[in-house]
Amino acid sequence: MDLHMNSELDAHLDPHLDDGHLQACLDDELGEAATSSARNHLSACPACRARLEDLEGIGAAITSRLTVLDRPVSLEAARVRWSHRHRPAALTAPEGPSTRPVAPPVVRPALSPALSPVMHPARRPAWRPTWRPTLAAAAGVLLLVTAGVAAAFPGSPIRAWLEGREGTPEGTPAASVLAAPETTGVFASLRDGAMDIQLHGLPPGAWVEVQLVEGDRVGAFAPAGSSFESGPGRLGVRVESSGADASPPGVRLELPGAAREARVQAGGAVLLRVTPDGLWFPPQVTVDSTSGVIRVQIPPLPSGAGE
Amino acid sequence: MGEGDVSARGTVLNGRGHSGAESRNGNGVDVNFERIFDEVYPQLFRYSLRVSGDADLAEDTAQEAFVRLLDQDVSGGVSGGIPGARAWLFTVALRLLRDRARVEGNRARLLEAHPVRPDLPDAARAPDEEAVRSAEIRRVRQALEALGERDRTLLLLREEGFSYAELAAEVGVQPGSVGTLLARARRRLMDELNGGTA
Repeated sequence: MDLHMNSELDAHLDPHLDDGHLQACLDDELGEAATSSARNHLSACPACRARLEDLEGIGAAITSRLTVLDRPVSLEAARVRWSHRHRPAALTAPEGPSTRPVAPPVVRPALSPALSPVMHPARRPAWRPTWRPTLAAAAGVLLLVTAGVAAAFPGSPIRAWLEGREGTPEGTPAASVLAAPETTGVFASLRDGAMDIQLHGLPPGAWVEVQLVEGDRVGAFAPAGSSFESGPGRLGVRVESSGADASPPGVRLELPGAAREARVQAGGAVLLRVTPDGLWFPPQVTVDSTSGVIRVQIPPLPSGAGE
Repeated sequence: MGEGDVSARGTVLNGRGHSGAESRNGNGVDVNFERIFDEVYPQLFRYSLRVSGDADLAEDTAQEAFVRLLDQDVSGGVSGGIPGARAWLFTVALRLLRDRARVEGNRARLLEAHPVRPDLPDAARAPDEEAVRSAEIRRVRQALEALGERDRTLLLLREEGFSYAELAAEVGVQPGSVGTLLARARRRLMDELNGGTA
């Protein structure tokens, strides 16, 4: 650069560039002519160049330091939440067409031990009538994994998986068609989207626990009278019947996304593991996927099964 | 749950992903809602979190902004394609956050608060590291709070890649003055981060 050799010309240069011009120059927001003019000036003016570099350094430092405020965002979790807001028919069975989505009553206890220790059981969940009648005759506990997000995000592998299984005869163990080679469990390909897990026919006092190995949020819905307990990476629900209804209680869990690690236990037994590769069920269950859900039947839990 | 069960707005949503079905806004610009969601949601969440310091509030805000975008889309649309929708979403988010702060009278909380809860991976951080991080969060929040709202908005929106024209429209100044305002805001913020000069 020949900048200093031209120092005798400095007195004839245009006035120094102000901070606004320098900033706009850095941000590539000066027009073509102004940029060219600014470059000419900068090439001959060490003072303005120093200020430009100063502003550039400040900008980079700020960009860097602001990131301390950030948290990773889960687009999957956001999509799930969105899908719940936009599934009024599935969640609340409104009469006639609705033009406004109705958000479900979400209870989202924090998983950190130090924060949000108080949780409130949801009122009797609105979703329950939509599936309970079809399961009333179940002898054991039924666990349903619905592909809620798949409905709203048609490209989801969950949907593809479910649609591919629509023709599976009722009661046919999915293991026969979906057994993974290295495991005795049942494997269902499930790579994105989130899960809505419903457990029905639980004995009063059953303890249901979700452990998130990776993930920062889980939602739980349980009848009034149930109690919640959280610890690092886990949320437990002591499920009780609603006082007005003596039928076996149910609980619904929302997991943020399939591409995360999670484990659902009831009565001390693992019912479901979610891994980045898919869903894993214990070998003693039967799985089918008719009616748009993955349905898992497991042996009855003992009453008051503890952790 | 058939897609036909979903309301009129659902026709927009259900178009996502299948065959590139898109909603058409009032100005004839095709806007694929899923694309907007995927591209803008992370930015909107980050921005809302930086403004509010509250992850739950940030998430609520981002979701609500998209609900309103869909309302807007159904009733006539937002002009400008994805950039137009993005600017619109940020404007709505900012207004929601402002209203929230006003209603609760807790502007101080918005800018002073820790994140409501640490990320799960934080549990693995060493206590010292966590303490340092908490102190830095506090420092950055306080520095942001020391800026006026206009400067803070300009600075944070610029971090999200807003053009000067968009910034000018957002805060109601001439585009030609944005550079000056930004430079001043950044110097001021840097001074605050370095301990303040006042």
